[in-house]
Formats: sequence, C-alpha cells, structure tokens
Amino acid sequence: MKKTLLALACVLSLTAHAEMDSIRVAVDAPYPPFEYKAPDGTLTGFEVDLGNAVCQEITKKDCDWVIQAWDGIIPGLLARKYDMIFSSMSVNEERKEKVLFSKPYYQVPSAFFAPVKGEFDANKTKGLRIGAQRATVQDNYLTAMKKDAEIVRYTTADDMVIDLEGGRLDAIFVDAPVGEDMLKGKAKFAQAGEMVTQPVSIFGEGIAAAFRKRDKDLAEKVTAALDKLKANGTYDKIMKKYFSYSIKV
Amino acid sequence: MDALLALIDANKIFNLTTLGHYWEGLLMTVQLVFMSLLIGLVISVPLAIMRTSKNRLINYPVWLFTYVFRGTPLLIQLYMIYYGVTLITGIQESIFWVIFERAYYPCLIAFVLNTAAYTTEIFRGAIEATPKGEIEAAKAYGMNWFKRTTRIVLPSAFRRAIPAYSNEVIFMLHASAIASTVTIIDLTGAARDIYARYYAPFESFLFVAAIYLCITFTIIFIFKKLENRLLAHLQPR
Repeated sequence: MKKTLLALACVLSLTAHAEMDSIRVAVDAPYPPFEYKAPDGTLTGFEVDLGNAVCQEITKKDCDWVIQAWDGIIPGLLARKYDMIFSSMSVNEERKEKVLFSKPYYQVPSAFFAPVKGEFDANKTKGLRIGAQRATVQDNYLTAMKKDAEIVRYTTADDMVIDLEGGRLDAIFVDAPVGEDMLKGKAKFAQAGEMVTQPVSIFGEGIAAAFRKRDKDLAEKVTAALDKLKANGTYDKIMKKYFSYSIKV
Repeated sequence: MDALLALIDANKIFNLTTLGHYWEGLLMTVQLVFMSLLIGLVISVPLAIMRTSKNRLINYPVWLFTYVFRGTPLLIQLYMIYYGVTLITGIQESIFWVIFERAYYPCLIAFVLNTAAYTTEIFRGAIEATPKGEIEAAKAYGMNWFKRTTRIVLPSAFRRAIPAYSNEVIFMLHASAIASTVTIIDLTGAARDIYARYYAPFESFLFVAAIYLCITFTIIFIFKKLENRLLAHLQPR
C-alpha cells in the first residue's frame, strides 16, 4: 500500500513538473500600495495581485514570492535566487546593462495641481509661476516644455505646498499620488488638466519586470501575459482596487 | 598644463549653463546683501541715537527691537516674514501683496531688520565711547545738542565703528545664504540647483565657497583701505 502511494506521489509530482514550476518572484516589501503585508500576514498589494495574475496566465499557479531588500534585488536575481523582479523597478540605462526588462506595466503619472477657482490651464502657462521639486522629472519637464513659465524650484514638497496655499504659486507640478496626498482635505485646490506621462525621454519608460539576460523566453511570456491582462480588463480591475487614477501604460 | 586642460575638459559640471547660473546667483547675492546693508545702515543711525537717549520712552522701544532681532535666528525671522504673512487673512487681495508675493522683498525686509539691529548696537557702543572731553569742549563752544551730535559725536563714532561694522558686513554676506531656503536663487541657491542636477555636492558647494571667499577678501580689502584712511590718527606710530 505504502509503495503504491509513493509511486502515485512520484507520478503526480512528475506530471506537475511537466506542467511548469511556479515562477519565483522577488519584491521589496513593504512598499504600499504596491506590495505590503495585510494584517493577517499575507503579502498583498497592486504588484502582488498583478504578479499573481501574470503567473496564473503562464503557469496556472500563483507566484512563489520572495521578499528581498532593494539593494540586493538585482544581485539576487543574477544569483538565481528567483527568476523575476516585480517590485516597482523603473527602466533605466544602468539597469539595462545588468538585466532584461519586460514591457513596462505601470508609470506613476505627474499632474498639475492648482487653485480650483484659478482656472489654470497647462497649455497656457505664459508668465505663470509653477512650483516643482528641484531636479525631479517634473522639474526637467517644466524646464524643457514650459519655457514661458516662471519655474520656482523647492527643496521639499512641503515648502512648495505652503507657497501654493499662500497664493505665491499658480500651480505645482508633482507626482500625482504625492499631490493628491498632500492636498487631501484642502477643497480649494485640485488637479488641473490631464495626468502627464510623456515624453519618455523625460519621464522614463516606466516600471517593468526584470529578468536575467538569458531568460528571454520568460520575459516574452510575461510581456505577453501583461498585454493579455491589460486587454481583458483584469489589469484595470486590480488597478481600481488600489488607485483612484490610472497608472496604466 | 595639459593635465589641467584635460581636467577641465573632463568635468561635466562646469559648463557655460551652470557658470551662467552661478553668475546670476552671484548678482543676486551681491544685490541682496548690498541693498540690505545700505538700508539697514540708514535706519540704524537714528535708532542708535535714540538708543543712547536717557529718555526711556525713546530708548526702550529701540532696545526691544535690537533685543528681539539679535536674540532670534535670522532663519526664523525670514520664515516668519515669508511664510507668516500669508496667514494674515485677506493679504493676498491687499495692496501689500505686491511686496510679499515674491520671495525677494520678504527676504530683503528680514535682512534689513536683522542688520539694522546689529548695526544699531555697534553704533551705540561707538557713540557711548565718545570721550567726555570732546562733548564738554563742544558745549563750551556753545553748540546745541544737534550741532554736537552731527559735528562731533557722529563723525568720530562712525570712524570708531568701522572695524566692528566690517565684521557685520561679512556676517551679512554669509547669512545671505539662507535666502536660498525661500526659493531665491542666490549663490547658495545656484549651488543647490547644480548639486541636485549633477549629484555632485562636493564640486558645486566647493565652487561657491571659493566665490564667497573672494567676496569676503574684497570686503576686507575695502575696509582695510577705509580704516587706513579714516583711522589714521588712531594707528600706532
């Protein structure tokens, strides 16, 4: 009897193996709302849900999550401790030297925030005073695209909000989540105009999954799975659970 | 020499754009410091005369002013004037908003009040150090208070105050760096911009430190000449 069971177990595990192993995926948690521990201890968040959906597409199983501190996350990938990084890693040239990226799956948008009654229009900024945090992508964007505006650069976002509230600025240009968070409960101010994520030369390509360079196969599968999730509405469903605005790219 | 040229070629930080930025910062610093010193000086002379008055009603308000402005950090004073005024209801609609909308005037006001407080005390000391005999002699000549003050007390007090005042000028130059905390692009503000752009704190701040040094040496040189000329009678032979 015991032997039969053992044999059966062997056969079962073999068939499971033939299907596909679950993908080992690294995240640096906590980084809410992208990945964090729920009160009951389970890993959750936007990237965890999306990652599981991607893994389900490819292996019919949830991902095998590995929590890894940020500074060791690429070395860990190269040392084969896991096969994919799905942890808000933005694509840049330095990282491209080391790892292979999937297609970007999200991008934190930037947005203008202005007094509600000021009728600020991002297309008519001539002579307006716009605040940005020094040397951020937003600063670079304003410097390159809004040459007719007066750009006021701040060391901290807090100082910038104080000057906006004090009436010294016509608008501020920040990461949309940051702006929403800082102006929460201040009815006099609101987002003005559309979210900004373009051009790529300033804002970057976005956040993508990372793989070892030789794992082209897996990267292609993940990109295909992400495309499918974006197309069939699963991506939007997960995104709406965590965000009130779109971070889709 | 070739090595030096190679070094200049290799640096990515000091190009025409950033040097231009530093130059604008230099102009802002010099303008801000010069204006606040000039206005502060003009205000401090009557204040110093009031401060030496025996009448408490005249003396005490000035004492309070110098006490408050010398007793609190300039950074706090700047924050109070720059951020504080925006909390006054209706200021944005009033005529004063022209002054307070940009960072320049609040900053200038803070600097002027601060340097006026210090300069007042410097002059007070110099006025009180007037030798008794000079005043008695002036009185013997039949000069009234006004003539005594303008002809005898102030001219000699100004001369005595020069060494101490040169310190105040240098301190003011260095204190002006805090203008960069309220969005003014002075020398330090320019250095912060360039530091943040190139992630090169050492190069960008070392460079402005050198510029500040040059300005300080210029100030010292000017005051040295001034002292040689105006304090010649006090110098050891």
